[in-house]
Amino acid sequence: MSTIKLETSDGVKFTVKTQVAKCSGTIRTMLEDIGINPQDGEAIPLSNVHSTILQKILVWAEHHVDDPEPPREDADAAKRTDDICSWDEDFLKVDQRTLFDVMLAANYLDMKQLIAVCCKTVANMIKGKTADQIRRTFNIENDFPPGEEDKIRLRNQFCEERSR
Amino acid sequence: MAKIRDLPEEVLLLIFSFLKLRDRKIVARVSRLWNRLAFSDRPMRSISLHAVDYLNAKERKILLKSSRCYRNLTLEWTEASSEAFCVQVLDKFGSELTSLRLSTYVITLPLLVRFLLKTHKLRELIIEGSLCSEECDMVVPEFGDLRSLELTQRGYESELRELVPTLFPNLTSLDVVGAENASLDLIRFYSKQLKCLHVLLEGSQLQKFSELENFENLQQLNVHWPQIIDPKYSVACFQQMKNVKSASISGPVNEDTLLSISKWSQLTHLCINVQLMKASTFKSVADIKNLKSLKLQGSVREKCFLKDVRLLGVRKLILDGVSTTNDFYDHLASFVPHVTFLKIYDHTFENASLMLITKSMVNLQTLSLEYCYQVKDNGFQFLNYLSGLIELRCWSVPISENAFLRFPKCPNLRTFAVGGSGWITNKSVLDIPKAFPNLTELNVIDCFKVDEDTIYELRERMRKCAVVKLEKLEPDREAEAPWAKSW
Repeated sequence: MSTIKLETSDGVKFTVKTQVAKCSGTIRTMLEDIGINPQDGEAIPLSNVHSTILQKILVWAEHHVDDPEPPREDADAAKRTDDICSWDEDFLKVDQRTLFDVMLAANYLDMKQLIAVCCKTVANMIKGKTADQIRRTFNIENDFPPGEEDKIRLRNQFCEERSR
Repeated sequence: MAKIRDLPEEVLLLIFSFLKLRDRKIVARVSRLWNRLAFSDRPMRSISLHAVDYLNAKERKILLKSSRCYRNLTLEWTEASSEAFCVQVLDKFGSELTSLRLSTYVITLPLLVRFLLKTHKLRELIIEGSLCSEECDMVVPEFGDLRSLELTQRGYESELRELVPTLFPNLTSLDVVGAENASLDLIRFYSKQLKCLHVLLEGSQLQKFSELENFENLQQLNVHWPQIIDPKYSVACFQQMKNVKSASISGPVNEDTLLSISKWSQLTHLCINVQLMKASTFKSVADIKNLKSLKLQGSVREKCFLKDVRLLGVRKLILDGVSTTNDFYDHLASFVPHVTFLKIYDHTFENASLMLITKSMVNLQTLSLEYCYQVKDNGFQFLNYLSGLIELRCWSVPISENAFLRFPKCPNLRTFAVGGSGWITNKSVLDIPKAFPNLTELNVIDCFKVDEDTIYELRERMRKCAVVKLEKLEPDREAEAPWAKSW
């Protein structure tokens, strides 16, 4: 079975099955289009990813390597967030900072399924909360000038989604 | 070590794409960045001014200063003094509108024309009120771009016969539920071009409708007739409707009529009234090969109604106001073996029926029980059989105060909605996390015994779960009914 080497930002080298590494669109492009030859034994540098995060992402990729292509979703359909499989749910039971590190790395590595499942997880953390609770949950500063938040609320209160 | 502010905008947008309007409105108030991104992927295109009469000066000013452009506008007013503001609203937003809903008692022709002259891109007009052209000798202009018209409230029907075809010659979608006697004339005028039709037929209207012709282009049909005079009477014009994809036919249907419907080869969504229907008649639904979604209305008393009928393509089944016997539920799994979405609205549905379906319909992902008053607490034990259940909704189902403690764990259940009842108390909602430990969304809807403090406490206890208390169901929660006005 063919393998390739990946080198993280902190200089750690990973030997990974090529098929698993190809879960990443970025690595796929490097191998197929740019023509980096993994047989040379040279490691592909992933300068934006730390070894602890890559380790975690490889666990995810290993588990999902045989997943079928997801069906194309209708852009207008309300997207579900309750369809995260239990394996992924356990996988993402991590502190916020790790979750966002995984998301940044998954974004850099272009792993659409992993990003989607992370985004669903964050969406679930947002749902049902008040603006203040959301700010506290994610440590976000309220940078509105006084009165602005109220104006936004007023302006948006009449807006409705078309239900049909 | 990343924080949420380190995420690139495209990732934030993806997160927001999983949120519904309710949460997006809140997200927009979190910070400047979030405000900018909250709606940028799916611009808020609709605005509803439900009570124009009661908008204060500040609200009116903020509205008219808004920089948004809207596609859909609803205006609802009763006082004549509000008309001036309505005109201002149309001055502001009219140029980009594609859909306009006007809701008032009487709308005069000059006012309507004044509105329409400001909306050049308008495709759809909904009038909830009476259109009145009395004492008005204006030359009626033509709005040839308008494709869809709904007249949903009764009154002044005789004026519509002349006025509507002159104003809107090119309609392809017509909702004439409120047009009474004028409706058949309007349907006759447009029949050749109609793609969508919604009509209520009373008395002798069914017979007149039946004799109409030229429905070759019709794709969506939504028709009601309260009763049929002669049970042998079949609807002749159904024979020409070869291209109907979605149909809701809520009136007693006889064998010949159902036979015509079963020949609609494009049909994917069907709602049909099975009241008094014989099993031998019902059998012909099996001929509708492309059917994906089926809704049955009316009570079924005949034994073995579903036996030997199989609909392999149906994924969604809705039993709407059905009352029936256990024998019916016994055959449900063989009737629709691949159903993933099941909604039951049945006063007579009881624990024994719940056991039958949970044991046999193993593919269910969504189960919705509505007004199932006979379901007793211990019946919910049977949910154990549904290992793939993702979503459960209980609407007006008697769940007693301590019942949730004895619910099975349902490890895959992520969304639970409970509502519309006084059975649910503060104590019982606080038990929900114990019953369903892996929920990601909990909706408590219209439970008047549940107060805000309890919801707050639930949020604290269920950190990984969105706890939402709603006064009413959000429309997009009702995943069903694509036939209900989807044009």
